[in-house]
Amino acid sequence: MSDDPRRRPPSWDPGPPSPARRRALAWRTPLAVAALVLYLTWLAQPARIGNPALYGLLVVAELFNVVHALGFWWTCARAGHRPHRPVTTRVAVDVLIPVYGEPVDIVEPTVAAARRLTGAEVRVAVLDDGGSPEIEAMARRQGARYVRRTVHRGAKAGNINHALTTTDAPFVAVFDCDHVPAAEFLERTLGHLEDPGVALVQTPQWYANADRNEVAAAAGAQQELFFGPISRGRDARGAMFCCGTNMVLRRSALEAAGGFPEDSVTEDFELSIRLHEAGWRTAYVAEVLSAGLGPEDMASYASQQYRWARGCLGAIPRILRARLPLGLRVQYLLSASYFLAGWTVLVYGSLPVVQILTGAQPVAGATADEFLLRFGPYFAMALAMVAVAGRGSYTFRAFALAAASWWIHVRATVAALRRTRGRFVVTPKRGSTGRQPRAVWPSLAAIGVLVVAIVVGLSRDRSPATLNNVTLAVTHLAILAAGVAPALRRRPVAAAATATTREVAAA
Amino acid sequence: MTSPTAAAELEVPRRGLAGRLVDAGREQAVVASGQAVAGLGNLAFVAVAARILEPGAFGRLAAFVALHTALHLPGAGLAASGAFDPARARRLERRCATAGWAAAAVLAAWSAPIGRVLDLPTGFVLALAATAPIAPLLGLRRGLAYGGRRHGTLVRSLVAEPVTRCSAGLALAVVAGATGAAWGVVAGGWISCVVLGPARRPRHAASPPRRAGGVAVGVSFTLLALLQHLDLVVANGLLDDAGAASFATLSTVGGLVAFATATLPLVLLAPTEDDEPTRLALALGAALAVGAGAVGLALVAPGTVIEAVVGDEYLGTRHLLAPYLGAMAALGIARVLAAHHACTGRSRRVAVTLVGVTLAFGAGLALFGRTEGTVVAVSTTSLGLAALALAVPSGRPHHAPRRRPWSRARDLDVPFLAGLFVAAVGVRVVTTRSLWIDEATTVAQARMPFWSMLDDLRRTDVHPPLHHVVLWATTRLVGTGELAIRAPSILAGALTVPAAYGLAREAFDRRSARVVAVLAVPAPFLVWYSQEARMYALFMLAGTLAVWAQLVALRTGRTAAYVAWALAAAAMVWSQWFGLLPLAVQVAATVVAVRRRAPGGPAATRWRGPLVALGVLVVALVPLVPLLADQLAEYAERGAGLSPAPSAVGLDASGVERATVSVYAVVANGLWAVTGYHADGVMEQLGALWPLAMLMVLAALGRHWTGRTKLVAGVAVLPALGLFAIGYLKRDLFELRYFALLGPLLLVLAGRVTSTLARTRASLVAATTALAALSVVALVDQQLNGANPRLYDFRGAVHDIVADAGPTAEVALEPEYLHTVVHYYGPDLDTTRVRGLDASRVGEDGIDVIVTERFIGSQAASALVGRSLYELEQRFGPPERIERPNVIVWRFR
Repeated sequence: MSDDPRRRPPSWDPGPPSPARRRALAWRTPLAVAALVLYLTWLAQPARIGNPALYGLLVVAELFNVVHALGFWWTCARAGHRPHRPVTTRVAVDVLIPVYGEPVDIVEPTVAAARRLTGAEVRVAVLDDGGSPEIEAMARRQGARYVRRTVHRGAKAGNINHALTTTDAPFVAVFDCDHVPAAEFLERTLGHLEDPGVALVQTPQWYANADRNEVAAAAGAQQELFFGPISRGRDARGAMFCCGTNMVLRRSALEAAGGFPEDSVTEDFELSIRLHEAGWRTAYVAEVLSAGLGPEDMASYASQQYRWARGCLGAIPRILRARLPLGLRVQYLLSASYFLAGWTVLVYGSLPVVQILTGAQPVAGATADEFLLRFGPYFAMALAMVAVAGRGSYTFRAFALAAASWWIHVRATVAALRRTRGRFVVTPKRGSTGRQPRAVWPSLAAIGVLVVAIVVGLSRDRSPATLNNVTLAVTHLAILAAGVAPALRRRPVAAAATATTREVAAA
Repeated sequence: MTSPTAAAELEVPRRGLAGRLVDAGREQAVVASGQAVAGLGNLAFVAVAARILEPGAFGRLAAFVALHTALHLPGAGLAASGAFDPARARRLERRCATAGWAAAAVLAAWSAPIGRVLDLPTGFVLALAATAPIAPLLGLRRGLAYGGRRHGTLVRSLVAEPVTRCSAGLALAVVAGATGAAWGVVAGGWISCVVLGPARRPRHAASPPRRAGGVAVGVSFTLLALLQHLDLVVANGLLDDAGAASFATLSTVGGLVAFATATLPLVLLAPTEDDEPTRLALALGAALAVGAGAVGLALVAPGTVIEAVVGDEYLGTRHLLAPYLGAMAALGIARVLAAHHACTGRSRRVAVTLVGVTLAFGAGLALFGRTEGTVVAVSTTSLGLAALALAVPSGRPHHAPRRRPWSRARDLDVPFLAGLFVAAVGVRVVTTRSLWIDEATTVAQARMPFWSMLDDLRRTDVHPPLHHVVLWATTRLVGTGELAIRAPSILAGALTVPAAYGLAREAFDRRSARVVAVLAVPAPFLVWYSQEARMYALFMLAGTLAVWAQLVALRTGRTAAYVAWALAAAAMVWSQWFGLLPLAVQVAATVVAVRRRAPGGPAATRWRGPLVALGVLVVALVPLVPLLADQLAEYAERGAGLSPAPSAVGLDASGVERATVSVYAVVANGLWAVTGYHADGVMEQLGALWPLAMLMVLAALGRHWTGRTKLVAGVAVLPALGLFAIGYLKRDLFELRYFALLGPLLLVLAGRVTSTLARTRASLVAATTALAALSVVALVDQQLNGANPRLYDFRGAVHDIVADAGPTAEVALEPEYLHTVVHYYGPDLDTTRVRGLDASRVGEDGIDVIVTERFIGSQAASALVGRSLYELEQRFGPPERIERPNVIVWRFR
């Protein structure tokens, strides 16, 4: 039996929560808002201003998080369930699988599974930008069409757009080459496209290798929060966007939008804006209908995150200019601006360091008692909301990995401001087995700074104020350390994460 | 057909237990005889040196011996490493010699500045330089002798050292004082090393195969040697001359005990085909026997022991002898266990554990090593912890075949828990403190006739009667000595250790349960109330048992388990009225759990157990209703609690801010539950660590909370929240002791978190050791830091008065409720209140005035007692002021 994790049944259900959990979320939301207001009104008092510059930074960071917390609660408040719509007519679907240098044993299960899709007349095309003879042979072996471009332009978007010119089915399904679709994928999604106003049906991404790789596990937990309550909530508000894989598109809508935008590294995000501007609607089916492979090492994760961050941050001006209803615009802004969160990590981590080294404090005129009375409930409620809405899927490791990615957001912001052109880098499908300190060096440098601050603080005095800041520094250090730890460990040679060609052929 | 190997095995006659014991005992006995002679020789050397040298010179000699020993610390590791893996050790001899000579050169060249830094004469430093070349070699060669089982050579080497010390060393001491004696010590080492001869390969026998873990063994035994001597080095640095000399005498006597068991692990480490369990049992038995004998002797005749070893000049330390010898006994056991673990492939685990213990020991000494007493306390606790940590059963050794699941754990958990129970009793008995005001009141009540006591409870108290009834019975059996009246609490507190284990095992798993049990032994909060002759230890025990029984009942649905839960819960309420709060949470949880249970049968079946439990609860609790009603009526009559009940007067002095409840009160109570009670300054520092709580909350993200976890957390936290709300109406009631169940339940949750986060066995042992070490540090601070606002030394204060003015002295006290505790320690003292005292009527012998520090710190107190104190001063002149933790005595003569 194959050891490919993508062949196992999914261990995650992104579907709607139980009534009890929905009630739990409902009564917590007003409490969370009240706690937030209590904290913000306390913090906003002029008497709280310590060092004005630090106070300003703290307030900006807190406001950013508050906006995102409110956005999250607002989105989750309507996280409902889209009922299944059965397919009533048999249609043709072009299943496009872009490939760019991935090994055959990664791609072949996807092609084989695509060939087995039911519920429509399926025409599978392998879009090989890598020009690999092995991939070509595999496509032939699996009975799929092999498409190779002569002019390589526009990365993945260009590859798909080229394929669109050689195919003609009214619907187009796109799968990344490591995402193995379930046989009923089209049966569960095509029904929604019978509504002529719907341009896109998106389904979740689920990392099947999460149980055998800690980076994939943490990245998978982040995905589960997004494709769980957030995507269900977006769908309820008509704001689900295209996520690049595991989706079905209406060809006419796609062509009307000019195909996938080739000038963005997040072509899916940009395409969604165009579709919504043109008045098309999108749908989200909260069922795991494909199994993919998450990034298995820190370099892959960093590369993926940078691409997303660069693309989304670069899209902010486009969102502001877009002709979108307010609710949709806010949802897009929330998604795009999430990638500024790294700046808040930088601010929070810097505050204790600055206090220890210079004595400057952002907040004044408050005892720890008063601060905790306001901040404690807000902090606790914010986490409780994440825990309840995400049904415990969002883990500390996911949080730590996100926090340790602060520098990716900073770098992407700078690149977006300088309008440096992003480059589409395919996320590696197999992780490195060695240590990768270079992939996380900014966080390692931050850890070094925190260590210095801690040593300086402890050697200076043991007053409660200093100890408090030292402990804050220790807290940041622990979070960053947990985030970068996978990069500093050797990974055993990957237990065969994928099926061999022979196994696929046998299957 | 039988294989040659199998045939050979068949030819070897199988020996019985007696035969195996004889085999194992023979080599231990041979080496031990040499060690005994060496010990007696060293003892004779010290005894004579102590008599012929001045105290200051003897102190310097002791310091030199300590440094000499420190120089030989790596030798201890090399000896163990050599015994464990002779093949590897043999290759190290040249490097050891080179290193030794290099160290000697450095020491000799820098002898003058080093002497100034160490506050030692240059001659001593030169003597150290002279011993440096053989420091590593001696250890290595002895290790090789153990490993090669050359016991005759070994014994000759062991004996040669003290013989040289006693002959040449003492002769030099007469001629050149302490410096001469030091050179004698050096000469002993050289001769011993020469007797052993250079390392060489065995001529006929094949070299034993290399064994994995030799480095870890060396590190472990170096750390064990460090643990043995660290206190002496620190005491020499931190204590004054007299204190250092006193501690040196203790260390000398303790060193004898440690010395007596030093060869046991080394013999055990040697490669052999002999039966490992038998060898372990023998070595462990010998270490236990030596330790127990020494402690017993120190308990029976401490003065005689001190006098025999170092003369009557140091008799002042005799009260510290038993605990210190206990520490050395624990060290002996730890060494044997370390050797056993090394032989069974767990040397890394031992090394990791000992690193943690050594760090804790060092930190404890640095923080609390102010007197000989505190140094002994830290030593006893740390070395006890080392033995305990090594006694924790560990999993499958790396190279051993996997055993059937359960068999090993099932076999070892009972002795493991029994060991922890004994350790828990020991910790609670050793780390004692003076009687507290409320305890004295309880004792006074327990001395009454039974029905009078109950009547007194009804009229003047605010607690249910279980603890009083138990105490009433025990005082009639064992009297009203301090230990006797605290025995019920000590027993309940120690039993909380296995109870917490049981709860954690039922709620989670065996791995978590073991962590919980280890952490419960030194948990400061648990220890504090286990030492108090009050109801809180009983409350915690009953509460822990109740949660455990409830989990069993919910899992099995058996009526017997529900009845057990009801009985334990009833005992909880009979111990403390606020037990009703956790009981309410438990009842609610039971209703929810039973309702949610899959309807697999008729409802009557599902509800039978809970209903029977409810019946038992009603029957058990109804008799308390009249008592509760009477106490509430009396309580209201006293002015809604404006003046506390006589048995709760201590609250006034507990240092709790009384105005309103606040976040700080929540933080403080939470900290107390985890870290115990500490000085205000320490509490402020601990409170500043709140971001760690934030980190812990974050770390809990994504953790699945089972119903069991929720139940444990709910029973821990919800009563506290309830009392927090009540605290807004009546501040006194938001006090940790009223929701003391939080302590053991937090411990259970902490154990779970630890076992979950620590994925590997080594990291679990390291984390558990680190947490236990932190607990020990917190415990030592709680018990010994005089600035702890809850620590009142009435015992010391009254003993001071009695020692100075006699058992019938006249004593004025304030506030009034001190009379119970003062009369407990000085039953014949003639007590009166300071307020309204007529100075002219005080006898010619004068009077002692005893007050609490907290009382005298208030303005109201000055108004109450100022005039009387002024009059006493007019008559007798300025008083002598004696300060004990939180108690002040003014002596007017």
